[in-house]
Amino acid sequence: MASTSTSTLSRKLILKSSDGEKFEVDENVAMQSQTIKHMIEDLDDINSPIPVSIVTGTILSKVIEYCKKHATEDSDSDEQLKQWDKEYANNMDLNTLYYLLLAANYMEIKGLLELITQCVADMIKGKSPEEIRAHFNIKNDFTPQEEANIRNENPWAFEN
Amino acid sequence: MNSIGSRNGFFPDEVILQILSRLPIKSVFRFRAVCKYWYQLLSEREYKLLPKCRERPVTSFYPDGEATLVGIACDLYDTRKFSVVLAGYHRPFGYSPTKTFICMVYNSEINQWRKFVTLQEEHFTQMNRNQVVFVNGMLHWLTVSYSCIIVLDLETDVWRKIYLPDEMSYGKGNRMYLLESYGCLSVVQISDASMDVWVMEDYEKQLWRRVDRVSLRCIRGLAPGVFPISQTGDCVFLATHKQVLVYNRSTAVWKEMYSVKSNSTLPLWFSAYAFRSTIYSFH
Repeated sequence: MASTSTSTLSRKLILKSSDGEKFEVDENVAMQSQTIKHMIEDLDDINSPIPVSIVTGTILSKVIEYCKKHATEDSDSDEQLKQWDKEYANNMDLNTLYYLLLAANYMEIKGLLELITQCVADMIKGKSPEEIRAHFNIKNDFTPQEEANIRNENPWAFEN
Repeated sequence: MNSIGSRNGFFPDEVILQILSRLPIKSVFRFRAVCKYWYQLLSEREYKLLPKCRERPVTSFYPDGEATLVGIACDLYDTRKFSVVLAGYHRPFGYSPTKTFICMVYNSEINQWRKFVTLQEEHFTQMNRNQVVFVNGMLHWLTVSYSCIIVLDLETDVWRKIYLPDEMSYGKGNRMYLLESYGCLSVVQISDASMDVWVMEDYEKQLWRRVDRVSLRCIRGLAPGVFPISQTGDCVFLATHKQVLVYNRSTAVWKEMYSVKSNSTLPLWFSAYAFRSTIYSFH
C-alpha cells in the first residue's frame, strides 16, 4: 500500500549554529529561511550540516521553534497563529529579541522579521527622543540649535 | 550591547529601517530628533509605512464581470516600481452587478497580475471629485456618499475603511475631495463660504486635524465650481471650469495661474488631475 503521508517523504536537514550545536529539522521547516533555501540549492550533499554562521544555538532553537509552528500553518486558524506569535515574542527578554531579529534578518525569514520588527516598533513608538537614545545607546550628535529646529518643524509630534 | 541604533552598530541599516518603517507617523517625526542618522533614515523619500497584516493568498476566481481602471500606485521618486489596479463588481450574465468586488493588481517588479475577490458595499466612481490617492503603500478613494474612505492595501490585498473626521458636516453645498499632503492623507472640504483642509496626521490611530480654514470670499463668483488639484505646505492649487488658481497659505493671496482662452475646450475637471503629479513635483 502506498503511503499517503507527506511527512515520511520530507527530507531532513541538519543546521549547525555558530557555537557548533546541531539541529535536525524537516526540509519544509528550514526552507522558510530564504538564505537556507539558496544554500540547499547550491549544496551537492544535503546530508552534511548547513552552517548558520552568525546564529548561536540558543537563538537558532528559537528560530526553529517559530519555523516549525509556521510550517504546519494549516492546523491552526489565522487568529490562533497570531496569538501564538504574540506570546512567542512577548516571552522573550530584550536581549534575546534583538539577537533573534539579527538572525531573522540574516536567515531571511520574512514572517519572523515582520513579527519582531513590529514588536520592537510597538515597544518604542511612545518613547521620547531622549528615551530612544538611552534605549539604543545612541549618541545625540545634533547641536542644541539643530535639535530645536527639528522639533519646531513638527511640534505636534512632540506633544503627548 | 554596542550602540545598536547607529550606522555600523548592532543592527544592519535594513533592520533599523524595517523597525522605523513600522512606526506611526507621529513617532516618525518625533524620532527624527534622535540623531543625524535617524533623521536621514526617517526623511528619505522612499520611506513608507509597512502594512502590519499577514499576506493573504490570491483567490483564483474568473469573473465575467466588468473591470474599470481605478488606480495607479506609483512612487514619484522611484518610478521603476508601480502597480495598476483594475476593479469592478461581478455581474453575472443578464443580472445587475452583485456586491462581489473583483480586483486585479499589476505589479511592475515581477511583471504579473494578481486577482482577488471581496465583498464591497460602498460604491465609488472615478469622476473629478473622487481621485485616488496613494500614500503609505495604500490606495485611497472617497465613497460617493462621502461616508468614508475606502483603502486598498497593495501589500496584503486587503480592503479597509477610514472614517472621516466627525466634525465634517455632510450638509448641503459641502463638497469633499481627497488629496495628499506630504505623504499624509488629506481631505479638502469646500462650502460656499470656505475651504477646510484636513490632514490625517496619525495614520495608525486615524487622527485627523484641520490644518487650514480659508475663506472663499475673494473668489466668490468661482466658489461653486472650484475644486482642489493638489497642495504643498505653501500653496493649494485649485481649478475651475476654465482656470487654475493658486492660493498662497502664508500670504493668503489668490492668483490665477492659467486660464483657458478658447471656448471649445473641455472643462478642466476632465484633465486637471492628470497633471497633478507634475504640479506637485514643481515645489
